[in-house]
Amino acid sequence: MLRVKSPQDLGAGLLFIFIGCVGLYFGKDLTYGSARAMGPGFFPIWLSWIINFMGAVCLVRSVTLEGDPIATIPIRPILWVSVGVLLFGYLIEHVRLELALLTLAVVATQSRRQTDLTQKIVAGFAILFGIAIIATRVQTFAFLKPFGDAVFGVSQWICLALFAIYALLTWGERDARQTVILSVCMSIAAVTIFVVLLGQAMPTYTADYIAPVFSKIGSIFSSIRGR
Amino acid sequence: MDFNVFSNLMTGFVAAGTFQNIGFAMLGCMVGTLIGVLPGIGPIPTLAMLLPITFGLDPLSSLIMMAGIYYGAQYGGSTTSILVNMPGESSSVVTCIDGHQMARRGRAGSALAIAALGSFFAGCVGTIFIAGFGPPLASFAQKFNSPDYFSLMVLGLVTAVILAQGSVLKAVTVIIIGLLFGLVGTDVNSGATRYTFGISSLWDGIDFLPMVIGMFGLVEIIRNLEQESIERNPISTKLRDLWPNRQELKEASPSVLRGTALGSLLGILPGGGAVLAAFAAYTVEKKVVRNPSFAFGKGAIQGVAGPEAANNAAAQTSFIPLLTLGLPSNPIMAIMMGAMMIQGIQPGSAVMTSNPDLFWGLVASMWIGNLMLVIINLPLIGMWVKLLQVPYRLLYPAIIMFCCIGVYSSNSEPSQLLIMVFFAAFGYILMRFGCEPAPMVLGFILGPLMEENLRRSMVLSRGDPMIFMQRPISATLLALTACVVLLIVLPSFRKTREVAFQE
Repeated sequence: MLRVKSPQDLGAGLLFIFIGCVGLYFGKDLTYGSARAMGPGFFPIWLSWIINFMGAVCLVRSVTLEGDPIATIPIRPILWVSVGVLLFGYLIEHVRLELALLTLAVVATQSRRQTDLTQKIVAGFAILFGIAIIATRVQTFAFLKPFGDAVFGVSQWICLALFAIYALLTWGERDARQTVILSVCMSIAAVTIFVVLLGQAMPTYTADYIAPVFSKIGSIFSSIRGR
Repeated sequence: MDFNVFSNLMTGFVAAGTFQNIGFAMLGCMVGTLIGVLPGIGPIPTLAMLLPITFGLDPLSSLIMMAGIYYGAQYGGSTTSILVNMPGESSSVVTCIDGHQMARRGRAGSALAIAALGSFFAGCVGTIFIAGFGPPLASFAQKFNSPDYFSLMVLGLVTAVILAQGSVLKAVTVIIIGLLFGLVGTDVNSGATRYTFGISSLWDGIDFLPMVIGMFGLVEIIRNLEQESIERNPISTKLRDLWPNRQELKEASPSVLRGTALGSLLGILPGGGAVLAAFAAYTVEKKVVRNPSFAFGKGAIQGVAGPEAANNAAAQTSFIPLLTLGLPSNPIMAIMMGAMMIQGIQPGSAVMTSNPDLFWGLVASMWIGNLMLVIINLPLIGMWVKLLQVPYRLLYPAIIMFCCIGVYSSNSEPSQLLIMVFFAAFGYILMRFGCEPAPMVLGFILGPLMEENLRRSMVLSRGDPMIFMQRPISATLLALTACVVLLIVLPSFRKTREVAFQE
């Protein structure tokens, strides 16, 4: 009777075989060629077979050698960090850098224990934007596109509201208050470093609204001097 | 090719000594230390996360800044391990053992100073080593042909396995998976798109930046988050106690010399690098030093000086295989290679001849970087200690923000962030199954090169794989590879390796 003695090896073996099979399946349409004239499929197919072989060895080891158990995988940090990062990527085109960063901070802080209420609000927000992103990006859900467009149309207000609600709800706790303050400082610093100092092109409110004001002041000054 | 060490170094110092470049070296050291000091974040994640800020610069400045970040990160790592007993990465694990005990005894400042001064000395020697060994090796490398390169890469990838913690089998597989990931995108020869799954942003291949940031930066954050609250009570130190006393200096200097020698040699080996050197140096110190004033493990200064010097010397000389052969010997060098390729430089023997300013500038900047560390960081220790007291719950949103901006700024596409999340998840799962994800970068970087060299060799030999045995260089390299494989498989070596990692 087979008994899994090393769960880590079992997991690794299955993962390797999965990758190897994906490699073989999606590589089957590539020209294999011959050793003399290697086609685009030659190297990948060989690699995939080796990976499969290694995976099989891992599986054999998992029932023969004692090994460590797989530690439980905590869902919360992975989930909220990923959601935050993805929201940042899709939101930045609509709400620009500063607000996208604040949103990211609020979502990312959920990976630690928070009060139920903020957690629900943030989750609701994430789901709303998740639907909007799918509606505007995936062809199959094109019928939802007006909804997505509408959400993105007012997305900056939604983000601002989220941040304001978060700040208000958590102002009582020292930790969360510090996070709020820090994230505001951080987004100011980010704009300064990346956009002003390093000159990287990114959509920011600072560049779009504040810079023109400065240049206007500058032109007023120069016109005064010109007179 | 010019073999005169000093005229070469002069070229370098002229190129790297401009006001602007010194400024970037300084900035690199500062931010490198800043991130490297944070507990749980070692040199690899630091380097990965800070890569984007070097992109806007011209190639030399950007490499100089990268080198600064690297040294800064390493130094920051040892600061953390001495003060908090929390090594950021495996190369500082050794420093932890005696360094933290010294700190407990109230000699934290002295341990830090010895670490910095020892590293500086090792850095100087390492720089001369590169200047001396680089040109001969590069001119030798020009004799290399495709089969030789292929065998060299096989050797490099196999020896890299020794460094990976845990099972050898898994490390090898992870590297091969890396090779496969490296092939994603349009095939240069046939124009066929491979493994793109119809996603247009994969046509140019998987981008390097989101991959490393996801796999090292985000994974590190998630891993730290799961330990809900980490107890961190850094031992405070004052500038006043910073200087080691005469007794300590006397005890430490021979160790520094030994560490430097050992580190410089181990760094050159493909697969060598800071980690191996630090472990080896600690073992040597333990054997050589007869009667330390404090026993090893109880705060022996030799146990700090030797490994710190060794890891810095090795960090320095591990640039040699990268710059002369185009072979990254460890994951950190793979990231450096990725950064060079983003700047449009293909590392290898050609860099030295076609771009001497760049090569020697980089070598000189390593020395400048080391100097900066001593000048800037020693007085700033108080500040880094303060930073250690900032709780992690405040730091991690900032770090995530930084990762995101970095990835987004490299190529304003949301899909990059998707790739980052994918690799974060992948790296995390690998880790949970007992596989170290770091060697994957090596495979990822070398994948396309390896395929190209294999293809060319096969064309040369008309499909006969015996070509790898017939060419002398290639045959030697493969024989070496076989030796390494035997070593890994042999039970006695295996045991020592396991013991080394457990210590």
